[in-house]
Amino acid sequence: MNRVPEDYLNGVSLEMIQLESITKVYSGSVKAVNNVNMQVKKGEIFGFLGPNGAGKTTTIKMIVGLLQPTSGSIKLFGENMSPENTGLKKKIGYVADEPLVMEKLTGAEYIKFICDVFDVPVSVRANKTEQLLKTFKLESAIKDPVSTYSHGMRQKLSLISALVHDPDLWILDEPIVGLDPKSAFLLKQMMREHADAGNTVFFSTHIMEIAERVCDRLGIIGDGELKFVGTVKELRELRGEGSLEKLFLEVTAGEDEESDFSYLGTR
Amino acid sequence: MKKVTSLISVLVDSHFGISTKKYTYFTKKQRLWEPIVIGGSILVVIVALYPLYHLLMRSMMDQYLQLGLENLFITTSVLLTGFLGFFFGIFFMVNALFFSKDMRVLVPLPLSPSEVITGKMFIVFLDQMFISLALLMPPLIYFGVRTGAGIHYWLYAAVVFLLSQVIPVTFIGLILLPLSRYIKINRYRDFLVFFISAILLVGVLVLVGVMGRMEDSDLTSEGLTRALADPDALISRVSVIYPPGLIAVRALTTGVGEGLLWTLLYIFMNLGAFALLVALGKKLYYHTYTELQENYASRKQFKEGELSAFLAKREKPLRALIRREWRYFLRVPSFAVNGLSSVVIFPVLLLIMAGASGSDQIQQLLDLLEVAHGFIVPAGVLVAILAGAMSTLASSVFSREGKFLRELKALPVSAKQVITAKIVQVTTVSLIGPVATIIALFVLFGINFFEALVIILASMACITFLNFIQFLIDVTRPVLDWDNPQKAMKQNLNVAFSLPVIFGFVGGMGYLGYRLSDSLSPLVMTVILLAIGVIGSLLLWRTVMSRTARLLRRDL
Repeated sequence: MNRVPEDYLNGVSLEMIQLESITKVYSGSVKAVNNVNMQVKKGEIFGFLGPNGAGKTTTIKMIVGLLQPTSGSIKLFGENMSPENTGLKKKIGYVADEPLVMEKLTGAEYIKFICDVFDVPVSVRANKTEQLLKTFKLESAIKDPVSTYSHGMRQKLSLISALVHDPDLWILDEPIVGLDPKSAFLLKQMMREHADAGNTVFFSTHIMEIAERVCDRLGIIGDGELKFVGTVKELRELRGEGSLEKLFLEVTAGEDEESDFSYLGTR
Repeated sequence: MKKVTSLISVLVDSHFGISTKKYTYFTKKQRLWEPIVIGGSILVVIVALYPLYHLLMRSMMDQYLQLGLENLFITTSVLLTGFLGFFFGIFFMVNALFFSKDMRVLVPLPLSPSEVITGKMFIVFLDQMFISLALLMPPLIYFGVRTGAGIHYWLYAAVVFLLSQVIPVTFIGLILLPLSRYIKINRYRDFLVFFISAILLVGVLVLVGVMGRMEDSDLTSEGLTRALADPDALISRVSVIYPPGLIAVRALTTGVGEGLLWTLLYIFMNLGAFALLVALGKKLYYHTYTELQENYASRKQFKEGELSAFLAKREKPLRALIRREWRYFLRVPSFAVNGLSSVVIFPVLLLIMAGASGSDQIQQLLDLLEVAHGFIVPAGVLVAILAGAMSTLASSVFSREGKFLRELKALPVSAKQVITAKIVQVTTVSLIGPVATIIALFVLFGINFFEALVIILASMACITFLNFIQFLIDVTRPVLDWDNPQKAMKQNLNVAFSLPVIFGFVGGMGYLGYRLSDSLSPLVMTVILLAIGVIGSLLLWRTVMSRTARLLRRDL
């Protein structure tokens, strides 16, 4: 099993993810992400917040190597991330914004495929898979093709596939979407335990309550620019008291004005 | 009517990506090379094929004129267009009606099944019109020019051309809708419709075979004399296989007044068939569609130790990738059906010839080929290449991944492992072509084991070379954004770009072989083909790998 480099275990280097002046320009003109600098430390849960189209998924895709930054550099475990760096990929558990699971395979076939390419030892794969299946209540569907799964079940399978190889760094793009309350609760617990064991969780969400309760630190992105990085306490010190939702709307600007929806009832 | 027009315009826009292309080319001014390359390729194909096509039409027409059977020229074209329309229509229709993802948008809208069917059929007709454009329009023009046809001919020909795909498509719809309604096997929903298609296809082949034998048997002696004495009767007999063809031929060949009546009949027949389809669709379509969307799921747990046993079969990443390729290929019906049917189609045609070899004409052809038996190996290699390289799997190798290419990119596997897995799978499917070819050649000519082995080796070398070229075409511009697997295969321009390469190679080598048959022995020809395949594959291997790595580095 691939583990983190010695430096990280010894606590010499604490940054699991380092984004340095990351910019992503689409179609030569649209700046989806603009000069983002951010570090995510070992042993923390980092919540990445932002409105729709703010640049969250683009940033996450750059971190896992699906997109190349137009400029800037990305380091994971102190190593430069690139699509060819298969060693680094083995240390990451990634859940995409939409479950990327081949519909024609059964759940079991997909998990086995993941175990094979991530080189999960035979001695642990069955036990690990059984535990994860039990946790996410997916045992009864595992023999069926993914095409028969609901969105939530696909999300669970994505999570199981991302965690079955026991990665040190979890990168989860909207992992709670589609999960039933119990599975969402369990995932939050798993994230906490993973971070407490000295690993790292980086995840994006729209749900402020989760961000407030689960995250050690937050990053708020709006219009491609990083608006805030720090703890909820630091955010309150900066912006004053109020719910995280209100503070979030303040940081991302202009979305808290009173809206008139009376037109919805008129014909 | 307004609703249907609006629906059709939206479906046409979405199907051909008109708005997207307009935005890319005119607003964003990006990928401007694309229309140039596409237009250029079409032009190259037209320029390259025109002399051959013209020669073929001229020699056919000359022969028919000599026998006083010039109307058979039109009959052949109409029949061929109808049959190919029927064959391709099965796949287009099945996808348009049952697998197209836009149905998820259309079903909740306040549209009646007949409106949706009308819209969908229009798209299928447009797709099918490419067949008529290639196989019916040139013969219609050639016939009109050659026979100095009057203005009425051109008017009736326009009607025949424009409606030429209505009957094949509606006929398939009329069979598909009731059958898929009453065979409720939800568990095999993906294969259900393709199973029906396969039965229909086999039925047509059998019918063609039977009719062919009937015609052949009568064309041998007195029957031929009788046929020549009454060309109309001959056309009627030939058209029994495809009756709408008879009406079309009558419309084009019987003068102004009678032709008009036949043309009107042709129009009413097409409209009637379409109305019948719409009426049937109104009753069955939504019901059938919603039933086909029901998923079969066993929801059974693994028994004690079963999961451990399943996961304990550890495989190396490359092997896991190869298994993934096979599962994805075999479980997506349009990939499996298109890929497998195209590698066996030529050998099957050869075997149909073998089945019909009792007739004098086929026997004469076989006798002629027997004379040139020495060249059976290089000729067999070329047929095997054609059969194996036609799988369209190589030219859609990355396109078929669609959004799952992102999954591949996120996995800890190298570009070399990814492309090796794809090569292994595509090559294995391609191998079916040469194997089927040697079976057909054995049945037809009784080739021996050594000849079969040489044909397999030389053809596989050339197929690998041609597959690599097709990989390079697809890796340059893979079609990844599709909602319907057909768009990754049949409707993929990369596949269209690859066909001239395959036909050009086989045709070019065949032509060179024919010209050099006096100076080069069959053995030398075979060795040359083997050498081209091996050297070409070795030369392209690195490029294929580096381009794959480049694709996996690209933003996805």
